[in-house]
Amino acid sequence: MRVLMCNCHNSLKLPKLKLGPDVKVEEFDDLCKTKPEIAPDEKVVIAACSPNLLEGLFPGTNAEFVNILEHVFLIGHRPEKAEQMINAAVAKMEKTRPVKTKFFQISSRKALVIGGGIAGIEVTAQLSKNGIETTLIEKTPFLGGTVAKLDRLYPEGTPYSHTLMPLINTMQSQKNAVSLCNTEITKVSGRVGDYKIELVTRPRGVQECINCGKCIDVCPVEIDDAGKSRKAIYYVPTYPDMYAIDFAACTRCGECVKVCPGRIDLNEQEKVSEIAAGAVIVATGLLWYDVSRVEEYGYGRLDGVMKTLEFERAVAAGTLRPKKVAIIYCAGSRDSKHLPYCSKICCLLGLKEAKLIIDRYPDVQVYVAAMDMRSYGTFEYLYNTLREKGVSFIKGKPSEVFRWNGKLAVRTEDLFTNELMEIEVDNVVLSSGFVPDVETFSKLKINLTVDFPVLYENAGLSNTELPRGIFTAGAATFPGGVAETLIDARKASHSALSLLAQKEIETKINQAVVDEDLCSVCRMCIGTCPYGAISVVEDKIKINEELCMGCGICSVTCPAYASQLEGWNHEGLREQIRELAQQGDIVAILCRWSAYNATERAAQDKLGYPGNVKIIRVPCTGAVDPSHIMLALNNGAKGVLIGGCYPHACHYARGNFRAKAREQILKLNLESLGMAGNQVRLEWIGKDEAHKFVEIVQEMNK
Amino acid sequence: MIDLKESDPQFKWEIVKKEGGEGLLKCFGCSDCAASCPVRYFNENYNPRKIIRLTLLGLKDRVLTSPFLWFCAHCHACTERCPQGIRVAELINAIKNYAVDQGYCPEGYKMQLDLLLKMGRLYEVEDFDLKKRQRLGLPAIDKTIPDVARILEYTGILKVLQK
Ligand SMILES: Cc1cc2nc3c(=O)[nH]c(=O)nc-3n(C[C@H](O)[C@H](O)[C@H](O)COP(=O)(O)OP(=O)(O)OC[C@H]3O[C@@H](n4cnc5c(N)ncnc54)[C@H](O)[C@@H]3O)c2cc1C
Repeated sequence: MRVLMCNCHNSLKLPKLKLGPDVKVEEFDDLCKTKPEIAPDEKVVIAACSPNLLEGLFPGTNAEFVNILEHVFLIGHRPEKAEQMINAAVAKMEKTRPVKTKFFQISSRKALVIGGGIAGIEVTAQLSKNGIETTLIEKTPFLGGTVAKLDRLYPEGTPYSHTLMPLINTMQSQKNAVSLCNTEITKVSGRVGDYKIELVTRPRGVQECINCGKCIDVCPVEIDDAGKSRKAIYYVPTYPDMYAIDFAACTRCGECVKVCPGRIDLNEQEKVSEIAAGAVIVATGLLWYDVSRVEEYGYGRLDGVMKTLEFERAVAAGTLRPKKVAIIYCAGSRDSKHLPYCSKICCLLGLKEAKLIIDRYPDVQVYVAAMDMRSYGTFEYLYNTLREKGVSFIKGKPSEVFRWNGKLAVRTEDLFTNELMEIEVDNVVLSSGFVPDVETFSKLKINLTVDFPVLYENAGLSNTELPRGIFTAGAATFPGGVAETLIDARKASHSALSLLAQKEIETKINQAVVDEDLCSVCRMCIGTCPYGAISVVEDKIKINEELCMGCGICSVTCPAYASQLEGWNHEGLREQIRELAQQGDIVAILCRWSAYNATERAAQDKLGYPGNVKIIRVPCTGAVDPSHIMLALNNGAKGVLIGGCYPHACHYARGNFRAKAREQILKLNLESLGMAGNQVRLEWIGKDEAHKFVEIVQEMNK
Repeated sequence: MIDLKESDPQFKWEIVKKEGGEGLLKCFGCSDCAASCPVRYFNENYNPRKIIRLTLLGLKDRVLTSPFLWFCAHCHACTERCPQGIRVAELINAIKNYAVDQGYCPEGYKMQLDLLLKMGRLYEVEDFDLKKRQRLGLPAIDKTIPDVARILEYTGILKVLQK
């Protein structure tokens, strides 16, 4: 086997190493510039600097990276350690299955966009303009989403229709664009480049409408639609240009049919259809947190307490004329009991509602109670304007909203004066936050354990790494204003376009492979897969190559070791541990996303740790088998450290929780065998927590 | 004026180590605790947010000698509301415990302890009470409960207060 070694222009100089007999060492001055040829199915060992730097240079190579720079040279460990590391890597590679290259045909050059808000409309316009047949589905009867419900758009104060209608018209003028309202997805099957999606279109109840409005006059049902009242048959001036029946509210009294026979059908049936798409774009937009759960603010319990959207609509409709208004910020946001994160746009929405009412009724007294004001970017100007318009900003998080002698009031502390304060008002507006659309994502088999998709992308699980052909656009990615939403929609369109422009895509991710001879179809692996990639097909366990992300969790769950991870199969790992672990060593098996990076940080920051700490890089702590740990201990290792991501930061959703459960069982077993359970430690070590890593291994060495 | 030269940077870490003090560093100063506090409603000098703030700034002497530290009524309204999930009432307790460890204990508490040591009760049982009980058909009770003194000794509080 070839071992490619780099001396980094003579700065990484080790004495001649004693390596195994079958090893052919090739030395380079700068491996990263020379980039030697490596055959697609060749297995090599690369002994140089960090795999984080080199992996990108040798994409899809079957290489085991030995970080002699940061694990030996920079921290002043003896060259023998490098010898052991390289020999262990060679032993591992000999028993390691190469990673197969997978090709996915892009059989359908069409796209499905879910959600007809501005994001979905913009994506549909962009894709269809570029020749992609695109279907846009919207679950309500009208396009436009949240923007269609608003009065005007800040920072400029543009009427909503001036932003929305040009977008809709651009999309409608494209011959490749189709939009279906009252439509949702029910079933999704297939894979990137070749999805089959089942749609259900619910009845609209109205056809060939001439917009005369007689039906509205006779409809006896009046309901509140987010702050504005309307009839059960109604119209929103966006698209399509016809009325619709809200069947959830309609009593089927038939009055409308009497004034408009032939065009209204109260018994229209829902229709099921199927479409093919190579890419799916999720643009399901803003989803409110249920603010009635913040009980102390009284939404749904106290009259006069409303949400921003309801307030905006009621003020715009002229049905609300308060003299005093309090706007409470972070209602349920940045709160460990509700939404622990900041939804980013609610501060802007609060400022907007303040301006909206003051512009309309200058005598209104507006109090904004905010624990912090996050008027990022140029929204700061809006904040400035509002102070000049006389809005009182109170710093502090109100403790409650209550009614006393018929009056609505907010209790808070004013942090500027340090005094308690009660504000008597006519209306309280709660600026509450937004939640991710877990339902749609789970239909698409995307596990949102890390809140919004934008964070999911950060976690390294982006669509580029995950060849799923599913993209997110607009507020579904993360809540944002109109400008941010449109920018995000364009980015999503371009990602989808560059996928659909290809004939086939090629990927080389380490994936799980099942050995049918060993597998007894016990199905234990099915439930442990965070991606739902495992299923039973014709009485055999099948791994879906489009879904498997290569965490290796199933390979440890499998009692027969039938499921194995390419590049990290157990046999290879065991060989590596057998070679590497010496008497008295600390073997550190570390997650490539977090703890492993901390060891590199330690070297860069010149934090020393003992030379008997031997590091093994794994995709996830969930892929560490108890037998690996036992093997290290059998070999005489003093301790085994398993280092992974913090509980909610696992790149594979829940591998670290699996590791934790296994560690605890293993400890009990060790103790029942009369060994010290604390020889094995599982620790959460963040990417940059070099200090923590060093402290732990030093402690284990005592 | 706050003079940070007087600040003891270790103070907050010592409180964090105490039972109940774990959440201290999570505080982002929203003042929901202060706005929820019924004691503060009647006495503006008491302010849990301010105690937490001074603790975070390391102003140990100010915190430990402050009479307001002892005003908390343990109603836990703050604990229920805190958006950061800090058990605020427990945190105040941790600071109180620390204060006692350091020899700061209000006279009133010491007097109560004396009563407990002597009688095993906070309220003295007088002949008048016993007569009243008899009239109501209730059994007589002991004027002192010596076991309480043993419990107090066992808890170590006597050593802390050098009794
Ligand atoms: C009260 C309020 C005031 C605002 N004011 C401003 C402002 O002044 N300036 C500004 O820049 N921004 C403002 N915004 C933000 C603005 O509304 C958003 O930026 C914008 O709506 C995001 O567009 P979107 O298409 O991503 O989502 P949305 O507009 O929410 O559209 C999502 C669409 O998807 C549909 N949908 C959801 N789930 C499904 C499903 N499963 N299947 C099919 N369809 C589905 C929904 O019905 C909806 O039509 C405001 C927001 C609010 C709430």
